[in-house]
Amino acid sequence: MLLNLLEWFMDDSSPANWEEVASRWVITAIVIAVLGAGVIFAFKAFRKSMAEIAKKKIWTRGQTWLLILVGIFPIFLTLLAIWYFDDDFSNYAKIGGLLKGTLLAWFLYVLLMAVGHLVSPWRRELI
Amino acid sequence: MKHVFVAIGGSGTKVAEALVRLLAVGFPTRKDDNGHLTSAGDTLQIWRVDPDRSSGASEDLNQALQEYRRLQSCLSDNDETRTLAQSSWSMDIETKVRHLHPLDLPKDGAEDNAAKSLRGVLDSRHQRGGQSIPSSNALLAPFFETKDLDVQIDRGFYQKPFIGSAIMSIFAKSLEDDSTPGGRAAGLTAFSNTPTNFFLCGSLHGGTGACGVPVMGSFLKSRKDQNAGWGWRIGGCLLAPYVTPPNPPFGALAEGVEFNEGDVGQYIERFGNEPAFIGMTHEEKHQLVKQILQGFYADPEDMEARAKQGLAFYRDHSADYFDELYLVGKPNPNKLKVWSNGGVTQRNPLNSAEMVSALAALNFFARAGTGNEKSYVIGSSAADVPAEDMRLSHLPSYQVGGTEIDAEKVFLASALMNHLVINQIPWQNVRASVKDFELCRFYDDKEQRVGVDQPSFTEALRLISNSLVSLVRENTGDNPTGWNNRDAQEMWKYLSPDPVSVKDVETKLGKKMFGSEAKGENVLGMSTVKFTTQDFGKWCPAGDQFTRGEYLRTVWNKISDRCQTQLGG
Repeated sequence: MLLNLLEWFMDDSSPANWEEVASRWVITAIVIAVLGAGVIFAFKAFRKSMAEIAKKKIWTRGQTWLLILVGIFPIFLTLLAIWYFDDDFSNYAKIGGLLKGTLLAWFLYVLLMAVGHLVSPWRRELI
Repeated sequence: MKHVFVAIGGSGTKVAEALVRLLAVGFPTRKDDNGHLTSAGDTLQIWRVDPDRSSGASEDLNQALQEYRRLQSCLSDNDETRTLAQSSWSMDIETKVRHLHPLDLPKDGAEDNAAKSLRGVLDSRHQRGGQSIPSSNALLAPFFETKDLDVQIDRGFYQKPFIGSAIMSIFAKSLEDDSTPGGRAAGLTAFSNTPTNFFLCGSLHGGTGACGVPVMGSFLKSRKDQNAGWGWRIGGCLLAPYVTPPNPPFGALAEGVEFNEGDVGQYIERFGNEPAFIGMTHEEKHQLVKQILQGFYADPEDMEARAKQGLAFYRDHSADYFDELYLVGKPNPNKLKVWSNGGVTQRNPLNSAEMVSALAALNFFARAGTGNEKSYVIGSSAADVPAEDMRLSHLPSYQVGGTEIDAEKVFLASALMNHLVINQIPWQNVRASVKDFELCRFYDDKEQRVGVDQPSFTEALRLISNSLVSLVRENTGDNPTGWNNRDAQEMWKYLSPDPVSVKDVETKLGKKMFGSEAKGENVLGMSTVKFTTQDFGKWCPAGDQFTRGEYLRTVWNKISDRCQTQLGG
């Protein structure tokens, strides 16, 4: 089951170490998603604490979703860079693996951002 | 505490208008249970004693009261039908002025006291009953000239207090009886056993004020002395000359020179289109020409002498009627451009002296005192106060419960409150703001109230702004108010919706990048205040059942507590 799942992230599973490459790729996607969520949260907290006017500390729902949307681009770019500079990823995961890894990272990132807002005092800025 | 402001004549009425506007702006008279400065909890009635029923000053006062009623309704339950304008923002005011017309005298029949002249009143029964009733002419002749007896007095007493005092005395006596027109209007029975501050205000040099203040003071004093346990206090404010009118379109005839109807017609033909006659019927023009020719108008040359005579009269006869007596005037009175002899055409903007007099009333209502029972105080402004160029910092301060009330700081607090509530509350995003704005926490479980409260706050603050602007309207050639323009200009920055002004104020309310200190000070004249919008967000009355008026009063107190006078001021 787990192997099948890992294989889904690889376009070419013929090499002997494809399982190790797939695991590294998935873990990379997860770490980038978590880091991305952390950085975006930190950015928002920084912007709020730097607001000179109290009113400007308040984010609307639209602003919050926009920020989450903006966060998916650096996640993709980071994954793309890692995928490009790591021969194993570009040779075996290939384009299909890149897209699937990115989808996983985005899903995780959005989930973390949503849950993070919901359990923090900022939940009214999201829903 | 119950207060009654007795506005006597046109000047007294203008001071009443200034008082209503000061209360609208937020001037306090007491401290509430939480130690907050407020005027809410007190009640005010305005009595207007003036034979001039349709004066411009009366219309201005009514306008101020209508705005006050709307303000109070916006800050309470939006009910504008009540006569008593009440909210937790400021004093309850009966918005229907009690008009005490000195010519509404008790009647012994339909024709009794019907003619609006001195003879019409003092010789009424003879004129009505014919020869069967002896005329009082013989008794009146040593005291009054024929023209004094016959002049129409339904527009005032034209700087002739000796005409008005006879009428006023009869009228004051009638107030004792609740069945007379005056007695019904005043309703003095309701003040039995009720501690009340009566404050009388009128001019020292005019006609109605000069005769009305001492006569009404004497009447109230005698009632007070008869009922020492009722807790009445009587204060008074006398307005010495502070504006001088221009000369009338033509002068009075010399003493003893007669004129006939043809002469009057010629004057109407020649001067009938002058501003002083605009809006008058031919009959009214006829009356006015006669009054001018006979010298029944406010002569600027005589004002100072009349004021001196009035002061001497108070010194010798009337000062004892009052627990506190204030005198307000200007060494160099402002000069009016348009001449008027009363009536609805006499519309003047509020003058700085009228605001000073209204502050005297607040001083009296707040029991700040001017000395003790065994002493008196001769207060005087600094010699360098410019009569035509006053600043808010020149205004006298008073004390409420040990706290100094500085008018300039009150103006700054109210103007800045206007900016904060309109521009700094995230009205469109209340749900997300509960962490940073206590007011938004209040709306957390009653979000539908925002739709009612926001427009109510906006309208209330518009009305407060109106009063702020009216009180310090800038001095222009046509409208001499006595104010330097700078205060109005500086204050406008806080009231204006202009984005540049809003940004300017907002920048100073912003916090520094590191730390929680505000970036700058907001200033009005010599007064400054420094805090951030983050501080503002925390200001809210305790509990979850407060009114809009309580919220504004809390914010106002927080700002007021932080106001300071600039060093070197």
